[in-house]
Amino acid sequence: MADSERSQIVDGIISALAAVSSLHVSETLVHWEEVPKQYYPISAFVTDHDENWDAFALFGGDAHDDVKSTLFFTVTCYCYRSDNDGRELRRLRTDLIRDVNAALEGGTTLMSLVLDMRPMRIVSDRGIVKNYSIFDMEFEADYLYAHATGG
Amino acid sequence: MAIKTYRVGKVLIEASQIFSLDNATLNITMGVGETTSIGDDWRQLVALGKQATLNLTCSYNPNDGQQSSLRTECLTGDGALSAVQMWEDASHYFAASAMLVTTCNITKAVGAVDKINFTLEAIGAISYT
Repeated sequence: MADSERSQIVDGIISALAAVSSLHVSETLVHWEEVPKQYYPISAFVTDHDENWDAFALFGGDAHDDVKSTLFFTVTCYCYRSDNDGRELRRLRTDLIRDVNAALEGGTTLMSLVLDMRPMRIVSDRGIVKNYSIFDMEFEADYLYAHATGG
Repeated sequence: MAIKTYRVGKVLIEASQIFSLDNATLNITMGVGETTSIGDDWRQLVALGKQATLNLTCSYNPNDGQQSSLRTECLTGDGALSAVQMWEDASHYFAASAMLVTTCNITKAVGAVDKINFTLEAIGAISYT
């Protein structure tokens, strides 16, 4: 059986992020101190979590897309500077935010799998962790599937 | 359960189902003529002709065969359809042997999927099976 649509979307997210220069991408989320230093200065971890479902069309046919699902996922980002230079950490952070957004919003393969993709918000550590900048980038992605086959 | 929901039902345009349909409304109306005399307490009416109007709203999918055939009929055809059926479940339906596509509206808006809306007017009687 083919991969579920949700799984294909997560694969698409990871592939899109893998194209970001110098970015280490993984689905195995660990504490920032546990990330090997060769995976820095920037690392990102993708986690798909909650999902909402709504009827999208009359269920008159079994094989057409009649359910709209909104998948919530988070890209957890770690930036690291051994010298704890705040200005350089800010540059890493702001460049990474830009590049993650661009990769996800501009990825044609990924966008072909979803109806819409929306960056929702960033939740950050507010600079309290020495040597690191840590933040979550939260997204929503809408996709369609047929109720008879599942997402 | 006798009450129906969106989980059953469909609309067939010339024997093929239209997809991405999120609203189908069939209005059956009768025209009336008024014969009330001045001074009457209550209106007096006589029955005139009946009319059926089918309004369809779909998430716009240019690749759907029936959506595109309705759109094309509205744009470049004569607007006439040979058969339209609105099924309320797997076995009961309203049928028109001929309808005219009288309106086609396409809507694009921020934060929403594109919608296409059609109005079909029955030519002659509709039946219920």
